[in-house]
Amino acid sequence: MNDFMLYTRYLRINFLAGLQYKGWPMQILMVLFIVVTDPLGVVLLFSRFGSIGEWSVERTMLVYGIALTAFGLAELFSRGYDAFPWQIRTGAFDRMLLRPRSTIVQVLGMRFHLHRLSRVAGGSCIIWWSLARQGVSLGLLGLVQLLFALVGGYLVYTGVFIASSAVAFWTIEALNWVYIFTNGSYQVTKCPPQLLPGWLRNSFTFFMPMFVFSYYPAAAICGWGEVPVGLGWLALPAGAAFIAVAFALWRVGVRFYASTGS
Amino acid sequence: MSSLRASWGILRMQLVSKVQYRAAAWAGMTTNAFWGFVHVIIILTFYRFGQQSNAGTSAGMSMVQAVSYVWLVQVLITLLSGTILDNEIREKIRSGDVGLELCRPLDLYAHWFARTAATRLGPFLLNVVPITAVAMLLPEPYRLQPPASLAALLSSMVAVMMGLLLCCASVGMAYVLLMRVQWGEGPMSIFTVLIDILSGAYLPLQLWPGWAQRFLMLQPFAGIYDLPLRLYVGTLAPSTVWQVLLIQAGWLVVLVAVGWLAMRRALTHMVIQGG
Repeated sequence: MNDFMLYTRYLRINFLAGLQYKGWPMQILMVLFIVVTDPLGVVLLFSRFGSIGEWSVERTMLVYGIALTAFGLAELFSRGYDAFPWQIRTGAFDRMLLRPRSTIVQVLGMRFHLHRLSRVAGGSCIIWWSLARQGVSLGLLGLVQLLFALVGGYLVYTGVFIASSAVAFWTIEALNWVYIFTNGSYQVTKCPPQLLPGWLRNSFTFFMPMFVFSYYPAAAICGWGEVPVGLGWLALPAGAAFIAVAFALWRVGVRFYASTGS
Repeated sequence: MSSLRASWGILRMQLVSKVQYRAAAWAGMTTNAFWGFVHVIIILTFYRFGQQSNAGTSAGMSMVQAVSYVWLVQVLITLLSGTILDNEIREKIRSGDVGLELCRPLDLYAHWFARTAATRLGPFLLNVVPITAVAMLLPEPYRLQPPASLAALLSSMVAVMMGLLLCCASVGMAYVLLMRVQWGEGPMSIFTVLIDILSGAYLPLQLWPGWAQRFLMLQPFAGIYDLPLRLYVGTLAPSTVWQVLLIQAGWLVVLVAVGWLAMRRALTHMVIQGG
């Protein structure tokens, strides 16, 4: 059985186990409520102050929606990494090392929460709404570009999870900062990138390439003409490069692992 | 009274453990500061480049006041956030240890109320100075301004303390929802997010649409962040502090009464989990 089959089996088992909790439809609603109300502040600001130059509420919400959906995908399919520091703390990672299978696949498949689907669904609705309001009809090319953007974003956020888990091999205490690159990162898209301070824009372009998989593809699909169209295709390579670095960090971390717990 | 003494113990424990886990405390504060900075940038962008860039000022809130407001929400977040629940109480409900709590000679509602206040004061006392300092030392458009006057500072501090009580009463209702173990988790989360939204943690209530203002000011959660911060930034004169306190106290009585009765009812239906 190859690694991918093993991963899908993990997900299937976790999924079926999740269905046993009869409260799951309520949990989906609950996350959906959190997702839908998160952009409330910025939407109210748009309704009071009007657009910011070219940037209407639809435009801003498109970039936001892509980042949000990508994060949702990572939460849905790579959630296991989120719970990883706990594995280190309890020493449960030892068991994984004993199994003759990839540790990455085992950690990835450790958790799967159905209610995380809400963020993907909510984000997709935001994307669809903002495209419709802007009168952009997705051609085949645009659709492919959008999918690449989401997959690229999924890879980046999974990379963030993996990198933060790698850090957990050294310290499980100071992991709060990772919020800056997960839930905090898509908050940044509520402001037009040109108006952000340079260092903030650059760190979310070159260090953690969020604008590469959200803003660039959005600009290319809708033809905003602010960035060269070719940059819209960078999402996938950027995501692949980011996750490769994260994997390398993970490998180093595993080598340094000394068991804890009993 | 005994609840108060117990919560004093909890507060001391909190402080000691937070000081021990320094790295975690610093990481938390960095995240707080980042969050605040991003929100400041967003609100600044609208005030400077929005089509109707005077829409904020005409709503009674200048750019400087709005920026200070956003920072103060971050300073107060550990004290007043509706979405932070006490993990120990949560775990007690989940594991069935509430049964043990019921054996204590303390009123459960009062005990949890005092405990919630204590677990919020600990992190707040450690965070307040560093975050305020960072926010005040930033360069001009981004920085947190000092209070409008000494009277503004004092009146807002009194109102913040009332806000804490109001917040604990609101969170108390969330615990009651959690006690319905089979289905309570979902409604509880929705309720706590609603507290945060209506208390002005997402956006100063003054910047919400004009037609909603009267309702927003008089609903129960305005007294948590929004009204005390209006006193600090000076969109409400310090002399109006009595009206603010009256609104807060009125809702506090209502929320405590409803919460206490609901908890008594929930206890009669209580399912003790675990074994």
